[in-house]
Amino acid sequence: MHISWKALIPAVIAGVLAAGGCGSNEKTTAPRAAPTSSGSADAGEKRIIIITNGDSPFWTAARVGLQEAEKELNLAKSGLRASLEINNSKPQGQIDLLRQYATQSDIVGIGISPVVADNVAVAEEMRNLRKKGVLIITVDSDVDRARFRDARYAFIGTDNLAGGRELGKCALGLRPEGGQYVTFVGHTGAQNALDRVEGVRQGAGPKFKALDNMGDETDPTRARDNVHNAILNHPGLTTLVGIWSYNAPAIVDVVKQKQVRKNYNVVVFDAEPLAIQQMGEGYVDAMVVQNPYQMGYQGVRLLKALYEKDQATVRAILPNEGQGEGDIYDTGIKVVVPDSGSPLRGEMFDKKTQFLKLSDFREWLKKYNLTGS
Amino acid sequence: MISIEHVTKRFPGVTALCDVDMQIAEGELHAVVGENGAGKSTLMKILSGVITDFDGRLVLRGQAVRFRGTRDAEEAGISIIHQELNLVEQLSAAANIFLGREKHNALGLLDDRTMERAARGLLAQLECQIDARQVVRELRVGDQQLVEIAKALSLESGILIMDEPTSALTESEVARLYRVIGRLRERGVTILYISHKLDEVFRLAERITVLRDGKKVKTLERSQTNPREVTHLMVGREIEAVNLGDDRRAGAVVLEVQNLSLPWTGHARGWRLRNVNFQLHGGEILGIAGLMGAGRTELLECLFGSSPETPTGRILLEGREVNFTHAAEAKRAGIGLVTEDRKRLGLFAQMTVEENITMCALRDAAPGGIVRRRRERLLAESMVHKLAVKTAGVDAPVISLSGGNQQKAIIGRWLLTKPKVLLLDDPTRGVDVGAKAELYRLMHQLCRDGLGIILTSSELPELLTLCDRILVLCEGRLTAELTRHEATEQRIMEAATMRNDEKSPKP
Amino acid sequence: MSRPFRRSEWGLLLAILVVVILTALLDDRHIYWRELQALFSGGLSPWYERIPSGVNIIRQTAYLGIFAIGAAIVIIAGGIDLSSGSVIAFSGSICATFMVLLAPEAMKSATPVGIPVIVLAIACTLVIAFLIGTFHAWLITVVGLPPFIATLATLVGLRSLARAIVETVTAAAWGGRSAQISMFDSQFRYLATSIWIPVLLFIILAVTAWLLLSRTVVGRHLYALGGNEQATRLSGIHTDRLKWLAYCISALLSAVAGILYVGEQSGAYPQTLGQGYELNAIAAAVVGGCSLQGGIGTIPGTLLGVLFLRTVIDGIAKIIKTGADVYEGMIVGSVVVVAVALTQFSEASKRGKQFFAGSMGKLTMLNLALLGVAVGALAGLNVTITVDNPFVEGAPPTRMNVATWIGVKLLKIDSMQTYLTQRFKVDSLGCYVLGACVGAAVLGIVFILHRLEKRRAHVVTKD
Repeated sequence: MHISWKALIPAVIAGVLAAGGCGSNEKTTAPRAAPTSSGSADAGEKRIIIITNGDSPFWTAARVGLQEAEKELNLAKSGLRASLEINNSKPQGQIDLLRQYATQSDIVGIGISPVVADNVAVAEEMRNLRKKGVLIITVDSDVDRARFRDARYAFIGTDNLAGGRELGKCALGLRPEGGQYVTFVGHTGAQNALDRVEGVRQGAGPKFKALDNMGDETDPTRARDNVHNAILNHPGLTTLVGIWSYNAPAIVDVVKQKQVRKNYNVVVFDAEPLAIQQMGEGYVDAMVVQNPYQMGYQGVRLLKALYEKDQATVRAILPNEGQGEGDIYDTGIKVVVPDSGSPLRGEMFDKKTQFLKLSDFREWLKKYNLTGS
Repeated sequence: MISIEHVTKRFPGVTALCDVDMQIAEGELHAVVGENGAGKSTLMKILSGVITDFDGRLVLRGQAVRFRGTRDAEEAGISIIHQELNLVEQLSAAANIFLGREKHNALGLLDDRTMERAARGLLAQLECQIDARQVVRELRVGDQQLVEIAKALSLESGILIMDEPTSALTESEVARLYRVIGRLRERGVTILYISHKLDEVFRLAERITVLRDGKKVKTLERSQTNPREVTHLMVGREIEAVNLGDDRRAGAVVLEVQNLSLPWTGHARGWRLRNVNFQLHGGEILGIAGLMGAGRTELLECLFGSSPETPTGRILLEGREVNFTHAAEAKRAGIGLVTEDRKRLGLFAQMTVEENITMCALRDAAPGGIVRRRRERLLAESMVHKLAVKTAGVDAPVISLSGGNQQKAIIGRWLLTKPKVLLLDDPTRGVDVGAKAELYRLMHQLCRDGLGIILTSSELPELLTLCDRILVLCEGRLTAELTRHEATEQRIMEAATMRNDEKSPKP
Repeated sequence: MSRPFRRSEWGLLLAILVVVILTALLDDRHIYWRELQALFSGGLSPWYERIPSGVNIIRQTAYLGIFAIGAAIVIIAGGIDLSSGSVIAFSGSICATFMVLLAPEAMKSATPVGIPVIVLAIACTLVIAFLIGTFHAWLITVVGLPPFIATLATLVGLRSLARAIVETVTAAAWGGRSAQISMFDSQFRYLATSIWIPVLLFIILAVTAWLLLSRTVVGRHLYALGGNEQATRLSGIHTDRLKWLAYCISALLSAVAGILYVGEQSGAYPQTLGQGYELNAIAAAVVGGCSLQGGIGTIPGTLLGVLFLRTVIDGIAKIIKTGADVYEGMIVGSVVVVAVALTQFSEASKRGKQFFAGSMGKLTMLNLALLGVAVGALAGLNVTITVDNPFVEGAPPTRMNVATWIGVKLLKIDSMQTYLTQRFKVDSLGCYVLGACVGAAVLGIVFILHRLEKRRAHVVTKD
């Protein structure tokens, strides 16, 4: 290395300034993309991003909804683009993403499913972005509403408390004499997890005893290990309750492997493709299904409407805005049971809940071009 | 048979060989002599394929050859027995002999039995008594060397290069080696013999080539020259026989050792050192002679506190009993040890000359723990000056120094600690003639200044030159204590090889 | 020791500049340029709010740098510390645990716990970190375990211990088991969220470490220890004490980082906190010039290594807008390999070593070419460019995948309808072409390198 580094540095700095100079002229694009663009004064598209909590098939359905919204609502015409950003299941990951987005001026709206509901740092980043004028909503799982409600404009997702209640009612309906259950979830601290577990307790009623709430931090192997250990440690266990989407196949795998299907009732949240198949094979007794498709769709729709100051659409999504729970859009829940042999009836559940048999559910999926929900 | 033509090899910063021309006849024993740094090793590495990138030509049996690696050289019939043996210590002798050319049976598995049989045959030819299955690490150096020679024999090399073969051998092993060489020559093997020891050279060689500073000085017929002339050609100047020590007077007793014993767990003998008693006076050089394994290094380690096992007995430094468990305590008390094998145990290869010299006494240049560059430099330069260390500057990397100068730097390191006793373990090993003389003068001077020196060496002439008194160890026991006037090579050798049941001769 | 490596430090500085320029060029939002303008243009907001990317990079550098210094010191002393990430998790969790034990109600209800509690918790955590370092040193010097094994054990064990402690303490103090402890206390969090404190802390620690290594007797002894342990011992230096010092420094610095991270993330998450961070620290140290054999490396070099890694990661996030972390691993991995290989390269080429010789060399050429093909194809489908609408004349420009654009141009598709029906074919063609081009380019470059090395070694077959 005989080059004199010191001589190069001023040359290099000059290069940086020159390169930057190219960019200040908004009429031309960066040198690497040959074709020219004739953009508006603030060139380029704006972006809407949905940040997940982790990676799971649940978000695939959300992505379909997002892409459909992009097409149907003609985001391109408004100069918008929507994309899904998969987080690594860590709160730090979401903090880093929000900080990175804070540096990028082309982002106008973010929907986020916080990994941990009461994490101050994430809430502060969200507030920070709101101060800069970026629109923030939460999807699928909310922040701690007592503390951080102001960090987001609205929440689009399932009323997880209600959903948990329906799941509890499933457990009760399958075993009216009562029993003992264990809940399996990813992050025990996520708001949707907290709400659902509480809802299950309420819905199942006094006849059921909650033995444990086991978290696996979205590690599928640990999810299976948890089920395994629960079965081993609790001889009086009667019901296995899956709270997050991938807990369903985890439960079924272990039950299948140990051949103890008749000993347990399996009630789960969400309908991953695998879980749907497993219900068809008779391994799942009931599913409380969210509507991630709508979360993606309505999320994009709301953000676009807010960006364009389209008051009509905003009011359509949030009619009670300004009052109490008016900043929450409920994407609704379904209860799905196997086609035959289930003791569960539609009347057992809340009137807002849709009650479906498996084959009907499958029709619904096909209509929306989904493999799961 | 071999013609080396206009060979030049440059390393960054130094020209190791400059336009060397040499002819080696078939079947002869050709000695190559020169000081360290003269280029002998580099030349041999080129011949044996270790160095492949050089200018010049090699012509073998009339055809120009270019080796891409040692394999090519081996296939051309050239093998080299390095001074630092190239054996895999964890493998057996037989495995080492066939390393890289293992024999397999029909199934493709290793055929240990055939290899061991062949190995046994080869070792027998070399008068080697070891078991072919024995792990090399457990062998004596002399036997390890024979394993290397056996390897060369198994390759059926026509040309054998031997680099300082006797530097680690006992007398009987040396004699055995001579016999082996004789047998090889009867078979017509051409031998290139590199050595410092002119008595060997003059005993074995037919022709002698002298290298100096990377150039060939002259090739001589052995019968037409003498050691003095050769030495003169090697160093370019006359080396007068140094007779030191006459004007030294021993002072008070500075170190006394009483009943020192060092256990040897797991060995038949039970003791590395047994009941050693002696005294060291200030201003004298005490030599310790003995065969390999007699316990010389172990004795020094006990005095320095760096022995892995704890010795029993008493050690008194300036009249006070001391009990060193770590070298740091010995250093603080005023004892320094210049270890054998400076590369492994002495040098900090990544550091400069200055940093190597100041390592033990850095606190003197660092009031409050912060090193003052200028003071450090002064310390280092004072040593460089005092010991006449030849270096491009104290900032030069220490590996750029020749062996002798490295040794001086390490001695300088310990001198900075202002020791009362300096222990030197085989300090002139791998050091060329000129530098040796300088080291001798240095030791003499240090003693004149009052330092007490204990010196270990395998070279009896060296001990006889330097020491005021010589202790002889044999298998851990002190078998003789000879004054300068009483000591002869004969008597030392007798004491070193004495067996337990024989009485030690009266001094 | 420290002197020969000025060269590679300049090289790193240059590399950082190159990465910044590359990002500035490839980022069509020109964020760096805009921030630079905002910085100098003045305005009402404080200057650090105008350069959020710069602040981000600096903060991340400070966080990583704090424990990378510890990693570097251990590596220079001839050891290695694989447990940094777990010590971060453990110490962060312990700090939060202490706060829960000292002020359970306040922690639960998100009211301030008070400075004394914070100070006490931090002090106890640092003491525990010292004990962890001592434990490492004991395992290595007394029991005789290789450092790799000793720190591997704590890598695995400490995180598990942290989780157990957190769950037990939260169960005892709050009545309900929790796998994490949320940190609401704004005073504690201020340590981490303020712009200044982490950076200042980092600078102080870095300067102290630098002084220690380069100017003190202990520092010199650490270098000696890493360079030749036997010789150091035989020079009358207490090598065991030096190792104790090195591992304690590493554990303490990781603990400081852990405390800061808990404040930054506003929670102690023992399962995930710091996972994999030790490798980032070691990579930064190695890129910055430390040799894993010991005895070589500097603190300034390590810091440049950290800055370099963070700049690369930020650049990736700017260029690959969404899903950047998918590519982050690949890019950081290759960058580290290239950086270290380059430092070896000048050594190796002097010795005449060839990188692509023999059958392994030919396979490697193929390997790299295939990697080029894969990367080209991936890039084709993921990198978008803004082009004139190829289907409708005069329409505003549209964004399109590079592969799609190539395919459309080659097959002369002129209408959106046709494209949509043949979408897979068009995109695939574009991918193949792009992949082939990149692969061929890589093969070409590698082949030229091979020929060049061959010529230098001027090998002639033996006759």
